[in-house]
Amino acid sequence: MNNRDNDIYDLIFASLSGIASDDQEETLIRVLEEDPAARKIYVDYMITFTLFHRRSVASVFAEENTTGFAGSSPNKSSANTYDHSRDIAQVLQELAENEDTAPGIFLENPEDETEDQIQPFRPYTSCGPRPVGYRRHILFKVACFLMPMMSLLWLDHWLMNSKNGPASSVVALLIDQIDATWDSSLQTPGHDGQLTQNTYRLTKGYASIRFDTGAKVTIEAPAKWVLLNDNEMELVHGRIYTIVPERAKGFTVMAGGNKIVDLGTEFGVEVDTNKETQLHVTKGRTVLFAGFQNGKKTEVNVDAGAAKKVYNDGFVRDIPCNKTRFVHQIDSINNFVWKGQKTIDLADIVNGGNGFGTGRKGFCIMPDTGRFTATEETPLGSDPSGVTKYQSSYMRPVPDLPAVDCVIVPGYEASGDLPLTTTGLTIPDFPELTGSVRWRIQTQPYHKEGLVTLNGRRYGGDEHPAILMHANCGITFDLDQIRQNISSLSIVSFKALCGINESIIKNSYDPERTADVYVLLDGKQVLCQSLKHVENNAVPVEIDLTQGTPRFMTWLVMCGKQSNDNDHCVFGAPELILED
Amino acid sequence: MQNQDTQKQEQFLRLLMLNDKSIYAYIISLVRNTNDADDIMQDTSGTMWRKFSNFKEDMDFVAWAITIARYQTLSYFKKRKNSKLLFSDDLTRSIEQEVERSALHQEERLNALKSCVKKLNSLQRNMLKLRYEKGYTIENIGAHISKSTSATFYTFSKIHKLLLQCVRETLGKEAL
Repeated sequence: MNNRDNDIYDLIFASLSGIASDDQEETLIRVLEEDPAARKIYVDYMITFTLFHRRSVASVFAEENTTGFAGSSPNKSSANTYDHSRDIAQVLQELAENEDTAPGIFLENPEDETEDQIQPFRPYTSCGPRPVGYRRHILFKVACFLMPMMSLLWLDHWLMNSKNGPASSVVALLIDQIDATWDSSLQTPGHDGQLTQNTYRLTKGYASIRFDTGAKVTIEAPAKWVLLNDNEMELVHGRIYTIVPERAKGFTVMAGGNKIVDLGTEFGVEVDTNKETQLHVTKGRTVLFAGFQNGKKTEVNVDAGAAKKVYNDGFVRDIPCNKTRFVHQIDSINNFVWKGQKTIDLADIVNGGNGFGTGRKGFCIMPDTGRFTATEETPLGSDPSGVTKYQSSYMRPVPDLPAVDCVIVPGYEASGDLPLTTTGLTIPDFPELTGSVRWRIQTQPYHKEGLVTLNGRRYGGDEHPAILMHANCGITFDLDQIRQNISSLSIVSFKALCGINESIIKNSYDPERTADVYVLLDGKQVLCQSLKHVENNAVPVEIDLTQGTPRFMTWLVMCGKQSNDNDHCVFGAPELILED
Repeated sequence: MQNQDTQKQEQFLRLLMLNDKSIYAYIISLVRNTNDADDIMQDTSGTMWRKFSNFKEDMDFVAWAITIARYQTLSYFKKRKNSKLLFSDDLTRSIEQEVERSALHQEERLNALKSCVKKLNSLQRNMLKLRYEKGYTIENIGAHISKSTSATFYTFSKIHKLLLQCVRETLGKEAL
């Protein structure tokens, strides 16, 4: 989904929610008048909204447990995810109970009041003249009532603005933040996340703000900035990444005495403690006015893929454009911080991460139980995944890893179906397997001194990650779970270098011995690769994931017709390629 | 005669229940406000019943209903005197065509939406539930999950985007 579509969705939702300004309503109408694709999106949105509003989707919510909620994916526990919904259910439950059981409120016994205290209501009538001075009397009473109120209002206004002088207008909104800590000696986000023309400092975490014109800025602490107006800001120090839609063209960032004007683009800006500025342009074009503050400026066009550094003496030089230097997007719901990486590391996923380096080393998945556990807990000597034969094929969910649907163990009987997913997808069993399962599914060598080598290059470390799977077993990834985290990006393909670990077979090369690797998408085989026990046996694998947007990707590693001794298969640098 | 009236009533109710969401979707596309859309829908339903004798078996009920809804909506805008929010005739016609086209796949769309809702994580589903089943405002939901109203708004917007993408992909897959 591109930024333009994002804007249209936001406009529609704002309009439906009744919070769109007149300008935004007019923009929406103009976009719909001009763009047939936008009209299609609009009608789709309205139909979907109607289905919710008319409660056609009620049955889905009714299926859920109303006193506690399901985990992050159906039929999987959420042991490792904090479930906010339990708190909400708890609060609502307690409120409801309180209504039923709260003690009654005692009123004073009306009989205690004497007739003298209760004055019957006498409505004013216009019959007869008013008493002398009546009007002055009323005005005096009104003034006595209003004066304290006005004093309080003035005091509140003064206190609100005492930090930074006169009242400032709202120019942006805080739309998301993760682990953010704001410097309270400066301005902090106001009611409802409103940000005014003021100075802000983020000392920890990340924040995402959106200007009234639509420009979106993601800020990484530590950072200090000034909001100048609804399309301009000054970065005093720190790092920001800006996404500017067409209608906010001209968005300007003042940085270290320089000025960067956007012409419809995405770019990152950094000002360091020496007041030196870096500009990295990811998309579109910007104009950089570089030079001394209040001095002569040099005008430079900086296009996508280019970057400039401006030194504090005004000197400008080209530097390599680093597209992953800045945080492009954050999502506090999924605790997702995206730095523009264009690949998802599946080894990181198997380590319990989100594919962007958040996983933990030293963990593995047990193919026979689906347990995600530290490898130290299962010493090799008593490895429960050591040679074990299973008669029938089975599948085990992996509840601790949302992006891994299940692991699969094929049986030697091969009389039925091989289950592939927790949703019930199967394929016919593979014939003639030894049926034994060995070793864990993990990302590091099985032994401390062990090596993982493919085509002469070492794998299994930070530089060249890998997933190790010994025949016979399988793993299924849930690509929809991964897609949820990267909402504005698409997964276009899967790539890896697939082979048998040369470090293990180097003393026993045998071209007659093979291990077979299969890749399936939603149960349909898209790859079958036979790997030989020879030197340089690894082959590059690339699978297109754009056709039909598959949900499940399954890898099966099978021993073929011989025993599975040393069928140590490796998926080197296994990654999903992204596109925005 | 009474039998005929009952049959007519049943026929009307059946057609209305089958297609009310398409009609409502059209109305809300024009007014973008649920309170007003609810009122207009009520007026439209009343008018449709009064004019049902004009409806012939070979007519497209949704198209016929939308025509009535269009006049009711115009009348609403006249009362509001807020014409700058009114779509042009071309745009209105274009939206009508889109709604009529989508009405043909209503069941598939609903099934796709249900399966897409199930794919959301529990917090996202819960937010939708609070909004659409319990009728909480965005502000209230924000208060419950300790987020500002604007952050909650953007979260909701993102959830809707995810769902719409998912529904489009699901319907696209089924078409294959």
